[in-house]
Amino acid sequence: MDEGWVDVDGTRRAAGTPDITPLARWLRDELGATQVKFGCGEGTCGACTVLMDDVPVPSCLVPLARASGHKVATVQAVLETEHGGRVAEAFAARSALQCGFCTPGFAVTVTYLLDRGRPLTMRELRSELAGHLCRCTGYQQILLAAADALGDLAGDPDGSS
Amino acid sequence: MAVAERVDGRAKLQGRALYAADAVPRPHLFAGLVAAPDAPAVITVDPAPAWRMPGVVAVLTPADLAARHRDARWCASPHGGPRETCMLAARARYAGEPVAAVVATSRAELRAALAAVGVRATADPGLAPPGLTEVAYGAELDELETALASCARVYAHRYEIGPSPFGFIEPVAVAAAWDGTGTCHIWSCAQSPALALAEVAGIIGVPAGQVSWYPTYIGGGFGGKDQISYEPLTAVLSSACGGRPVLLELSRAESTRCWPKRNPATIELRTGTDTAGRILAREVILTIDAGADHGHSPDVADNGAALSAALYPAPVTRTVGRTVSSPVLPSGGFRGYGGTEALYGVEASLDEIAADLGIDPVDIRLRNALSAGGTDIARQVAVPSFGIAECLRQGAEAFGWSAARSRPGDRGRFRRGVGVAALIDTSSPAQGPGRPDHATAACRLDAGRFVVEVAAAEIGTGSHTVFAALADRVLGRYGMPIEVEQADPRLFPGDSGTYGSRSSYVIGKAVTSAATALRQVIEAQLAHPVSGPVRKAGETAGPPVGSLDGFGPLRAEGTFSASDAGLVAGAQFAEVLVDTWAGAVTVERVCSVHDVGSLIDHERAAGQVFGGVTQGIGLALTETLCTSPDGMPASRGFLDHLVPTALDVASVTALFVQDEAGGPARGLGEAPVMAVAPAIANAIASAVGVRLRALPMTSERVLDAIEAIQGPQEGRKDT
Repeated sequence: MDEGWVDVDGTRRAAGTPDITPLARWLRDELGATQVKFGCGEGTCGACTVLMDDVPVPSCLVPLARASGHKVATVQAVLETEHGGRVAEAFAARSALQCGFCTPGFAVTVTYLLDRGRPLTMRELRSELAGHLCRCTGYQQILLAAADALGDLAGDPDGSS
Repeated sequence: MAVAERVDGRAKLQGRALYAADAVPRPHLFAGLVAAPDAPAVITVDPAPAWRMPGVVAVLTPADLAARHRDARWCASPHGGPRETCMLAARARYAGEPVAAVVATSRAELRAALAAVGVRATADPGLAPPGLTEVAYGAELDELETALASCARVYAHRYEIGPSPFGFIEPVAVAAAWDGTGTCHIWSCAQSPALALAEVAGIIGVPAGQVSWYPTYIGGGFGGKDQISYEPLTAVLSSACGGRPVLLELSRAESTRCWPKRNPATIELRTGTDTAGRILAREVILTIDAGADHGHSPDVADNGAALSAALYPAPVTRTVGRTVSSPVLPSGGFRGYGGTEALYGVEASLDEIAADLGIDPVDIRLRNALSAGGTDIARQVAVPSFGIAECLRQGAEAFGWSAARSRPGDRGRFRRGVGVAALIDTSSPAQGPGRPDHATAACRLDAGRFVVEVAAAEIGTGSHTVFAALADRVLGRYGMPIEVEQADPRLFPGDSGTYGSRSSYVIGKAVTSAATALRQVIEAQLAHPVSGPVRKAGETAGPPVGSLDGFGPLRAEGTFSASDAGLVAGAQFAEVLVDTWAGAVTVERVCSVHDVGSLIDHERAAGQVFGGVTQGIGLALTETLCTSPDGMPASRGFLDHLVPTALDVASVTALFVQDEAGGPARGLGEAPVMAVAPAIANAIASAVGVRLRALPMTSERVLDAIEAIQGPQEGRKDT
C-alpha cells in the first residue's frame, strides 16, 4: 500500500493512497484547514492559493497525488514568517480587504513575491496578482499594501513604473 | 479617533474568519443538487440507481417532499413577494432548477450518486412563467403625450443590459443540522438572516425559537445572496440523515448557472426639451427580465423607476418599472437594485441629448437635476439635502473636466475620451412613515470591553468597523476596547439584513442609540457621573474618564426607525482610451464623487468606492452570462464571466461631499457602482463618435459599432 504524506505547515500528514482529489478539498475536508478558502475549483480566482515547495499554486488544481511527498504552506504558516508578518501588517494598515474571502490567497502570493526578492514595476506587480480575483476592493488598496510590503522591491505606486 | 483598522481584518487575513462552509461542524455529510435539464418541463425522477451507489445517505425527490408535506412555496426574496420557489421542483420552470438532492459521506461518492439519479424532462409549454408586473410614478400617459407634443425637441432612446453572474468569490453554501432538542441549526451565506430565519422556520414547520442561525462572514454578495434558498432543503436533508450536519456547497459552475443572475434590463426613454436643454417632459420605462419567478424583480423595477423619476424632476415626468418573465434562470437584485440599470439609460440618453444640443454634459445635468428643497416625484416628499450640484462641480474640478473636454480629438488608432454621469440612490428601503425601515442593536459592557451586537452580517463593506467607530464616539471616553458581534438573529427579529445601502444610515443609528443608552446606565452607576456631548468624527477620545473596573455586565438596546429613503447624490467621471483597430476599451481613470451627508470612516468609504467603480467597469465592458441559443446558461464561471482583474482597474479617485449642516451619514454601499457604466459609455462616444446602446460594451461590439459607421479604420491590417 502506497502511504502518501504531505508536509502541511510543518507537520507531516498522512494522505492515504493519494489520488486526484484536489489538494484544496483534502486540506479543508480531511484536515479541517478552513483557512484555505475554496472559490472556484478551476484555478481562476486564486482564493485557495498555498505555497507548494515555496511556490504559490492554486490548491484546487493540484491533485493530492502531485502534492504527496511535498511541502505545503497555507496562509496560517505563511503569515507566521517574518515576510508574512510584514504582508499582514501592510494589508491591515491599508485596509486592503473587504469580504475577506480572497484575502488569504493574496497574502500568500505577496509573501512569495517578497521571499523571491526580485524587483517589480507596478505593472509587473499587477500582472503577478492578476491570478487573484477580488470582487470587493477594486484592487487599489491591495496593490498599495503589496507595494508597502515589498518596499524597495516595488516600483513607485503613483508613477508609471 | 476613527477606528483605524478593520475589526475583522486580522481574522480575514489569517483565514480564521469563518464563512458558512468553514463554520459547519466537521465531519459533515455532503449534499448536492440535480438540476432540471430542460424547462418548462414536467420532471420525472428515478432515485433508485442513486440509492444503490456507495456512501449514499439520502436521496430526495419532489414526490418524497410532497409525501412529507414539505412542498411549501416561498418567495426567494426575503423582503416578500409571490411564493413561487420550492425545495425541489416537480415541474421545472427553468433549466437549472433543483429537482432532486443527494446526500453522501464524501464528495467523490456524492458526485457519482448525483450522476446516477435518473431524470427525465417532458417539455410542457403549458407551464407559463408568471406574468407581468408594473408600477408607474408621476404623470399619466396622456398628460405626457401632450407635454411631449409641445416640446421643441423630442428624443427617443433605447438601451439594453445583458445578464451576468453576480461574481461573489465565496460560492453559495448552506448547511443544516438538528440536535436532540428538536432545534434546527443553520449556517448560510444569506444576506438577511433575521428575515430568512423567520421564513425558514415556517417552511420547515418549527417555531422560530427552534431555529439557531449561526453568524458567519459572507464572502461577497452584492445583492446576489439576498435570497432564501437552500436552508429549508438542507434542514430536511439533515433530518433525513438523523440530524447529522449536511453541507450543500454549489460549485462555481452551479453558482453561475443555477443561482439567480444579475438582472437583464431594457430602458426606453422619451425626453422633450427646449433648445437650452431644459427637460420639460420625460418618460423612462425600465423593464426587468425576471426570469422564471418574481423574486426581487418587481422591487428592482420599482426602485429603478422611483430613482429615475426623482433624479430629474421635469414638469411632466412619468416613469414605469416593469417586469417580464421568461422560462430561464431567475434574476436577483444587483447592487443598486434597479437604479444601476435605470441610470445607465437615463445618463446615456442625457448625454446624447447634450451632444445634439451642443451643451456641456455637466451643464445639462446641473440645469435639470433635483436639488435640496425639491420634491422626490416618486415618493412625493420634500428632499432636505441632495448635493448633486456640489458633486458635479467638485468632480469636474478634480477631474480636469473642461481641459479634457476641450482637448483636440485624436485621429489615430488610439482615441481618448471623457464622460460623466450623475447618480441617485437611497440609504434605506423605507418608503415613508407608513413603511419605515427599522433596526435594533445592543451594546454591552462585559469583561473589560464593550461589545456592539447587531443582527446584520459583515458582508465585506466594513459595516462592523463603522459600527465600532460609531460606538467609539459615545463610549470611547472610557478607554476600553470595542468589539462587534453578529448576534443571534432571534434577538433582533425583523432586522432586514445587509442590503440596500442601509447599514450606516439605519443600523448605525440604532448602534448610536444603544451606545448612548449604555452610557446612561454606566453614568447612573458611576459615583461621579461624567456627562458630555457625543463626539463628532475626527475628535480624539482624550484620556479615559473614570475607571469602569468591576462594572458589568451591563447591556442596553437601541432602536432606530427610518421613515425616509435618505436619498444620496453622486457624480462619476471617466476617461477611456479606445483602440479603434481592436475595439478594446481601457478605462484610464475614474473620479467618483459622493454626497454622504457626514463621513464616518474615510478608509471604509473609499474602499466602497474603489470596489464599486471596478464592478461598474466590469458591468460596462466585459461581464456576461453566456447563454446558448435556447436560453440555457452556458457559462462555467470566472473564465467566461470576465470579472476585472488587477490588470484591468483604473486609477480611481474617491471624493466625498459632506453636509455642512451636519446631516446624518447616508448610504454608500451601492452608489459607487451605479453611474460608472453610463460614464464609460459616454466617454467612448466622445472618443470615437459612436454610441453603443447595449452592455457590456465588449471589444467585439465596440469594433462592430465603429466599423458599421466609419468602416475599417485606416492603417488597420487584418492578418
